[in-house]
Formats: sequence, structure tokens, C-alpha cells
Amino acid sequence: MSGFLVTILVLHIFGGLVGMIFLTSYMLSLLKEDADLKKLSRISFYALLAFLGSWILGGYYYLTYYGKAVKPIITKGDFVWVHKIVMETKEHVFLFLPFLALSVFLVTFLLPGIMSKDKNLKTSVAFLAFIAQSIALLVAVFGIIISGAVGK
Amino acid sequence: MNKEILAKSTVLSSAGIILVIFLMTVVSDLNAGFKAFLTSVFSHHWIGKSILSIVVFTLLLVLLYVIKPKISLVLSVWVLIISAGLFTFLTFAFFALETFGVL
Repeated sequence: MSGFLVTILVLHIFGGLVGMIFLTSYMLSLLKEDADLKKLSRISFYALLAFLGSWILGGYYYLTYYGKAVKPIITKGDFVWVHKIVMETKEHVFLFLPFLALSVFLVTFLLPGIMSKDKNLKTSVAFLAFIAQSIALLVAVFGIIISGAVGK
Repeated sequence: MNKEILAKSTVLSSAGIILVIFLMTVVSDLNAGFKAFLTSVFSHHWIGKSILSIVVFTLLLVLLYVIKPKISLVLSVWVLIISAGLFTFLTFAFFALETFGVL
């Protein structure tokens, strides 16, 4: 694998992890009594940018390298199910993340006044951030499993 | 621009697009014709799903903004939460069942 592709691969992982960190920070901060919604709006925007970046970089790696060089190794080995279940789920479930992050961002950005007063809305959006970062965590764990299958 | 309707439309469009992504995933896997169609138009089926998800999301967003959905924003957010959790599980279950020959 070329140095360029290694960089792309690392940056797509980094983007996903940064998105997760921002969403976790968002969720924990939102549950505070005196949550700063202007700041949280920025944090959720950064999470959205991180997932969009990871989408483009991960997509580039997947399209130019995974199918040609990684998939054949996995499908010829003892862990064919890793491609058929784990990779297939990862590449499709990842597509949910930018839309979840966009929803968290837009609700926070457009309605800070309503959010600061409506405890039910705050709780539901915090839970939305939680489910988004849980899916991102699942995708990250799936990535580790796929890397493990290549080495075996 | 009504900010609350825009926020609600975004949340509901996200719930809708998650369903659409799941359906595209299942149909392209079970129907070689659909997968070939995505590949021929977009060069790769995954690019096709990515681009179509953005296009359909935008259309849903405009449609819902015009319709002005009557359900509350809080309920819309819970619909999205359930949609995300459910279709993540169903995507995994679909590929697992297919791999083990159940489907």
C-alpha cells in the first residue's frame, strides 16, 4: 500500500474517532443544567465535518484499495464471514452517521432557545447523540475486526 | 423560514433516509440487476448508494418542509433514534442470516 493510501486510511479512522469524541462531549455537556448551546452547536458541527471527511476518505480507500487488495485476502482465508457480515454491515451502516450528526447539529443550531427550556427535547437529542456515537463505535470495532482478519 | 419545521423536517428526513439506505442495501444484495444498475450509472454500487442517499434526503427534506409534519419535534427525534438503532441491527442481521444460509 502506498504512503498516500496509508495516510488516507489513517485519516478516515481519525475522522471517525474525532466525530465520536465530539458527539460524546456534546452528549455529556448537553445534560448539564447550564449547557452552552452556542458552544454545543459548534461541537456538533465539528462532529458532522469529521464524519463527512471520514465518509469521503474511507470511501476513497474502500473503492481504490479494499476491493482489490484486502477483500481477496479475507475471502480466501478462514474468516470469510468477516467480509460478508462485518465489512458489509460497516460500509452500509456508516452511511447513517452523517445524517444523524446533521440532525443533532441542525436542531441545536436552529433551536437553542427551545432546547434550553424543553427538558424532553434536550434528553431526546442527547440520546440521539448517544445512538450516533454508539453506531460510530460499532463501525470502529468492525474496522478492528477487519484489520485482524487480514493479518490471519 | 420556519426554523422548527426545518429542524423537524431534517430529523424526519434522516429517519426516512436510513430506511431508504437499508432498502437499497438489501435490494442491491438480493437483486443483481439493481446492483448492476447502480454500478453502471455511478461506477460503483457504494457510490450509487451514497449519492442516492444525499439526493433522496434532499428531496424528502423539501417535501416535508412543504407538508409541515404535525408530529412534535421530540417525537420526531425519538423516531430517528429508533430508526437508527433498528436498521443498524437489521443490516447486521440481514448479512448474518444471508451468510449462514438462512436467507
